Amino acid sequence: MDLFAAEIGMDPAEVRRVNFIRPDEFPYQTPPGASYDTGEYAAALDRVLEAGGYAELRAEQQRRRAEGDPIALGLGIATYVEITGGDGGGESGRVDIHRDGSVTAWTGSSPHGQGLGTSLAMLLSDQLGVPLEKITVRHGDTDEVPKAVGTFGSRSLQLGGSAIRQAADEVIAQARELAADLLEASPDDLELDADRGVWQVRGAPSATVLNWAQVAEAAGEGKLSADVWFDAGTPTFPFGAHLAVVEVDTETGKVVLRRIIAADDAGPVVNPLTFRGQRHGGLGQGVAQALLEVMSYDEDGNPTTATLADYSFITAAELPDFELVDMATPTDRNLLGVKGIGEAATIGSTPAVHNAVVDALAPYGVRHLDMPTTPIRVWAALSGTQNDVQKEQQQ
Amino acid sequence: VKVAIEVNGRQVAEEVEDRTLLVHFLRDNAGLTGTNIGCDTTSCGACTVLLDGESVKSCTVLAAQADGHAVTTVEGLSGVDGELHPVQRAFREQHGLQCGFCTPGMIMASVSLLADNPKPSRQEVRDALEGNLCRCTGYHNIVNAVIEASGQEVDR
Repeated sequence: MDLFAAEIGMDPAEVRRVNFIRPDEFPYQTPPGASYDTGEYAAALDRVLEAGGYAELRAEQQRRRAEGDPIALGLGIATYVEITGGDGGGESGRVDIHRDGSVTAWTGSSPHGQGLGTSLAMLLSDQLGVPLEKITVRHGDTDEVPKAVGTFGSRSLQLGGSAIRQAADEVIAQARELAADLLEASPDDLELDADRGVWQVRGAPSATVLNWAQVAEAAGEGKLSADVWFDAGTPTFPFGAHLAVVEVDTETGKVVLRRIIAADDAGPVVNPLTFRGQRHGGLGQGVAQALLEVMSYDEDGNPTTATLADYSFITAAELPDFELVDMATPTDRNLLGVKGIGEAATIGSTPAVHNAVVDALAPYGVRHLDMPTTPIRVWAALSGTQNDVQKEQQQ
Repeated sequence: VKVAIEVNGRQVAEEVEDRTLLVHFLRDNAGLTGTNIGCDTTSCGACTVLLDGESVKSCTVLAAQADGHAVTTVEGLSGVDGELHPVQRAFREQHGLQCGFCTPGMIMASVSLLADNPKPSRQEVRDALEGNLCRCTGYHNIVNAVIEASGQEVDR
């Protein structure tokens, strides 16, 4: 994309902008067969460029180039569409409300650190009006969750979360009938006050209300329970734009990432803290792949980066603070309107950083580098000895 | 060799193989499995503990070298009533951990940093934690957590 932009003399941001699928073209059928759900691709790019101060950065780049500054500035853009929940499977969800008013949920998408359990509890708390501390999310034990798929491929909230939403919908439907009997009213006249977690007759706020404990007590087994399988039948397509700003020391080949500005749109956000946490982790790993991390092998195929003493794992000292731009374009393909966020920032950051390094070296006639852009590779490209170094490294 | 180490204020004296590493002594002899073994090559920092108040990677210290000294592990940070240490609390508040494997080492390295430098800048936090690897967080919220634990405002 950037080579094409350079070839026709257009800014790389503009080349992308004129080629984007427009918001009114969704759902968009791609030639290979995917059906993109929703997207605001140009908006993501525009917001990132504005947040980063793209015009000012280009001016600073020109100033350095004019002055022959040995510390070259590079700007890299990447815009992406990814596929999430694309495995074709669904997910299990079960919600019980007990006679003490507490809630237990079982999910087949076992959380492993991303905070999914908290997000599911937040969904239930909002929907049922039950405080978080009375909600327990269980997972990972096949004795309790016999049917499940799992957490991978950015599927968990859209599939596992929708399953929990659907189970809670069913529990609410059961409760409506029971509460109607207890209050001697028509089910159609009952409403759940999700702020207080009580059932009441619509339009009669002073009349008797029932809390969840009272409704569960009236249920057959002393609890309300629904066990569901949610299958969207189709994946979702998150998207985003990243802008990376690097400095390259043209005398040593050392690259330093100064800034990375990221818009990652995965629909409505349930838990802003963990949502940003997923993006942070993706950024760290994506940047690492562009700058440092690589598995190397000797000529017999033995790995030469088999321990963390050999492998250049990125550290806190090599990363800047991340600048996140928030967007939330919903999908219509699941009950929550959400898409996956697990891998998003990894996808955008690697090409953005790599494009930035190549951009910094453009005045030196460099049009291509292999990842990762280690100092020796950059230095070799600058000194015109790229092929010699490659040969050396293979030996 | 006979080794006696004061671990979290408790004397642990055991006969161990000469080659026993401090991290194995802590996990197997003292029964404190909060300290994780990550890489065994001093690279990842998951096994970081305090030795007489200084952070060390306990996979690269022999138990015999710690004989007669005091070691603090992550289990030794919280109060007797289970109240979290300010650094532990800040990691939780700031979502400074995801899978949690690096967390005991990150927390001990952070405690050591704040003992040396009570009001570090974000860059100083990054430099101080260079020896502790994390794959999940991109370090952003770990830096936030240390800034919060130092009593400074988290602004990003």
